[in-house]
Amino acid sequence: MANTKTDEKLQKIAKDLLESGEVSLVIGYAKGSNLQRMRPVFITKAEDAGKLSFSPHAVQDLAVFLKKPEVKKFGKIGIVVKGCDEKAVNALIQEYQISRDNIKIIGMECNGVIRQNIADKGETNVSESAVYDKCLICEEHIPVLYDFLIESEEPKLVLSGNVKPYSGIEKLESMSAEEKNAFWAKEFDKCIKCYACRQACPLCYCSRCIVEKNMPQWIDTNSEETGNAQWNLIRAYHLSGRCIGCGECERACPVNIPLMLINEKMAKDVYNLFGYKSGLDINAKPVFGVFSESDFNDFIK
Amino acid sequence: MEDKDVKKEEHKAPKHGGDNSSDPRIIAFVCNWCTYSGADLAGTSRMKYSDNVRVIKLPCTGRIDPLFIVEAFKKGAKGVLVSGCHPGDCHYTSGNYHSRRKYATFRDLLGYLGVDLDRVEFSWVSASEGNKWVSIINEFTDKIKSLPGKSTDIFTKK
Amino acid sequence: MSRIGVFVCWCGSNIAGTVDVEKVREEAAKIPGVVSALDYKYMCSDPGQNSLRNIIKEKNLTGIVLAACSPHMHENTFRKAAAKEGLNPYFVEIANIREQVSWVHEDKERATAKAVDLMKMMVEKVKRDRPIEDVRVPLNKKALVIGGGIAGIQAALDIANGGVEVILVEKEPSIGGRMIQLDETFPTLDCSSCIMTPKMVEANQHPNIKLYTYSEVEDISGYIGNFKVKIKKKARSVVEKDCTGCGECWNACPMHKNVKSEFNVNLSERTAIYVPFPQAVPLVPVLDRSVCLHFKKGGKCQKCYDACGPKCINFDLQDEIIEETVGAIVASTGYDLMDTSMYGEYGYGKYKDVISGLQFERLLSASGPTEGVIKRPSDGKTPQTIVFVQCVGSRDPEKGVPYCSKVCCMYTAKHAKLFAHKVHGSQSYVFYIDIRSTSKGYEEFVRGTMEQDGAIYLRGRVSKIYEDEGKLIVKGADTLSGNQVEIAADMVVLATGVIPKKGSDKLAQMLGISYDKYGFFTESHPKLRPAESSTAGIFLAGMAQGPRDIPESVVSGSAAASKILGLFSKNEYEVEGTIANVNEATCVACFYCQRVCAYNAISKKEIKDRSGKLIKVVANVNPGLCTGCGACVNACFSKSIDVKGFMDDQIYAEIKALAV
Repeated sequence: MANTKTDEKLQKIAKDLLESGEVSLVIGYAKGSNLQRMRPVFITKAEDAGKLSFSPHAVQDLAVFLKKPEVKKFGKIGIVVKGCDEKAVNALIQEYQISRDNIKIIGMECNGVIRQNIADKGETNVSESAVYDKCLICEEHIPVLYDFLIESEEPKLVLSGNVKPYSGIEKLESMSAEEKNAFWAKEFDKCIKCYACRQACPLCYCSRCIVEKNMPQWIDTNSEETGNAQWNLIRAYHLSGRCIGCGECERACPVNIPLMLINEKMAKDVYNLFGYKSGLDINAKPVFGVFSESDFNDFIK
Repeated sequence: MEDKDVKKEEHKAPKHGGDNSSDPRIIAFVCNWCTYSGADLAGTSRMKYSDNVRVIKLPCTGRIDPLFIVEAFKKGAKGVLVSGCHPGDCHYTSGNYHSRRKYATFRDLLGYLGVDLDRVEFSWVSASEGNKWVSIINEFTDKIKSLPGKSTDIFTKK
Repeated sequence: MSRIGVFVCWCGSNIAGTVDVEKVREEAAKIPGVVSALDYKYMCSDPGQNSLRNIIKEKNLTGIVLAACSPHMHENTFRKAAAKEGLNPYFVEIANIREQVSWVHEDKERATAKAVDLMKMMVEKVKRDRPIEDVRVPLNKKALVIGGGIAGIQAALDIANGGVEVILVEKEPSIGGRMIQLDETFPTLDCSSCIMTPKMVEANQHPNIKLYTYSEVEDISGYIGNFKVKIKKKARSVVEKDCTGCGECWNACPMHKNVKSEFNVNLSERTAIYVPFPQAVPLVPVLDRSVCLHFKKGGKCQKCYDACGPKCINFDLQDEIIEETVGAIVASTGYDLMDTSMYGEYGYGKYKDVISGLQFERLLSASGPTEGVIKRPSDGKTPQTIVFVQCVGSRDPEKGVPYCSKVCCMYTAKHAKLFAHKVHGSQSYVFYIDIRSTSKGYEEFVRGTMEQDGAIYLRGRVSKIYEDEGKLIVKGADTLSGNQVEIAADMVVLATGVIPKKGSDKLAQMLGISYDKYGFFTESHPKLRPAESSTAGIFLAGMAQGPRDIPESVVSGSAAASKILGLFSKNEYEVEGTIANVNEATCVACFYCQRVCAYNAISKKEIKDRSGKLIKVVANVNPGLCTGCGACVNACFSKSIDVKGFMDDQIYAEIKALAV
């Protein structure tokens, strides 16, 4: 398939960055062997910049690679990001995992990415029913922070309102404790503790995860329901107020646990409680690094 | 009465799981400076309260990790209380403020994952509030006892 | 392998009456790792402690649990006893079976079961105790006092007289602060300069005090015993050691009508090169470069230089950064007055004869702009009628601040009194909300102003002040009589509220001490540690903490000094060893721990290899600052930080001991 204008712009930026030595690595997308899937590509030579491409099949959040030591060692890095992914970059800067000076953000205007199961069936057009739920609530079609911005050639995403994103949250909220319990017991029962959710998450960057600590054993190692529930609870707790909603955990889950129903619920609650959304401002203090004397107190006797 | 007995039969109080409705185990995580001293004051004032509670002392609410609550459930506690200094009174200036944010969020998460929130209580009890400690413990114990036997959670072995 | 001893105390019948202590002992003996269990009538008695010590020795115990009264009662007693036998004192845990069991429960069987549980928890905890050594921090026995008002001077003098070196930093060209601006002081009416000037001179001449005026603290790092301080000595343009304070320079300065005198609160002018007031300490002028013709007109004017005998004026002097290391700090930065112009209805700033209390002080002062004769700023006439308005800004949550400024009732009474003494036949009116005159001699003083000096006190607020035919018409309410009153005055004096010195919040952030929502520094404990800030080694004095009068400021300066002298009476500062500890191998340097630490105890540490190459950055706990609260532990996602004495595995073991 030929290069689109977007691809050309992207390749030019990457080429210039690598040639000038401003970065020594560009992380981006390349066309996959399957046209409906894009794969991550790591460009270190200007002459390879032609491999870069972007389309509504660029689903993966590439910010996940920024935590890898083998990527970190490149020092100055350029990265291709959609609006959602870029929030992960911001959160990583806020949490001192990367320095703004060491990263060149190539921001892509994005009108939504196509769900892979639909794309695999040949869908190439962005539409309300084809994109991920995160695209339907997206407020950052243009990334909030970038060094270069490439505008989209795709038509804008038209929302009829007929598709209700993350509708499961409201459904769950209206359930009794018992029903919720039963719902999650069933979901977590599927968990095989592969930790793909953690590996795919750009913000799960601990070198030794709490699940690997055994003095004390925070999380039961068995893959029975109790340990699974604990793992999923702690994962969600550690991402509360931090998750930027890229949805990679859910996409990575081999047993299809609806993890975004938890992540989005917590993002919503944190926003309602503290007025904070993650990843929007690299100068903002993370929500659990500060407090207000007038914080919500009604649940405390 | 008979009805109740039948119910109990149905849900056979298991060894683990804290379904010990009539005599529930309650674990309280409290800060050293305010609530622990308040509980001591209840003692020196010879007030009487329910004996289901077991207190675990920590330096500050800032040290009381919400994950302890889950661990307590796992080990069979039917109810968990977290208590510390009133806002503004923290011995360490802001430990209770930082934790309050976490508790509010964590509590939401617990509820969302199907934990009956009646089983978790948060309170501020100062060193002078022996009477408040007594009423918190008594009321919480009564509440826990009144919960249906089957109220359980996904963290406890069945 | 643990060798635990469990000691169950009867506390007479206090415990044994409700708890079956023998049963507790029997249960203890069954626990793996417990090698000795006994019960005794009074563990805290000498024989009780002796038996504890004997068993530690005999059984070579690695930890002990006392099932006894609250740890707040006797934890220290038993720790000391254990330490005498060479056991680390932190290997002592207390199961509180008195205050939290026998005294609050009645059913013996159930109380006993609870006591057994608590004992088991502590056995599991003590098994996981690690030896903890108290931390000793060396002390640099030198103090820094920030702010040279009466509180700071008092603190500096007391510390210096105790034989300790002091660095006194003052922002203004002279020390003396607000007090030296005042005329006479309530309730004794002794003149402020007469009692303040000798103190200023003493501070300047004291061999143990190094004085930096016209200087500001630029940066502070470090911790108790070892603060690194950067002081910016602003360019004075005058070489201090050569200056004789003769005054030829400022007499020669052509800029004598254009610059308002800060010291006289805009009631007079000063020159570009100036001393703020004649008794300034040091008596060395400052050249204000923002108005000096030499600097504004390209170096043409150098009249002061020409007039100077010792030729100590140097236009090329630059700001200088001085670095000092001190062991303790006093923050005594004082106060400002609220900007009264926001009370538009009072006409401050609009009508020349509506002035602030501090301006009135300058009018009263013999060294003030009118040489002590009360004159109206507008026409220089002596007023016959003055209206004093109290609580302008204070106790006014809507427009000003909700708190009471504390000194205004007294200084207004003083103003009215001095006005009566200076202008015979004059009349003063005082609008007040309440009269607060609670210290020694204060109430009598106010009474005197009312009864002997004829001031008319009206309880109520002033609603409006406006000018009419050379008079200031003051409209207000007299709430006691229920009447509206209207007074034609020659002058109005507003008792404006007190606020923290501008920039004190920035200083607090630099020092890492907490401050309230108004910017006043917060005490470590409002009642029991009123001289200490929230940060170890930093002490507070004077109005920077909140409104107070001169004697209270002096007391607080002395209190801070005595705390520092006490601290410096030892060579090292000892901190309890129950502090946080970082696992550097797993720390990912997200620094949430640093964000939640209330004590600035966490810093970044760079780990480098032998060649000096940076391997990683990790969190580092400063033992001199850490209080062991554990907020950082709660903030750490990877559980790479823990607090000694309350480790996560200990808490988990306690929970496990309670498993049902």
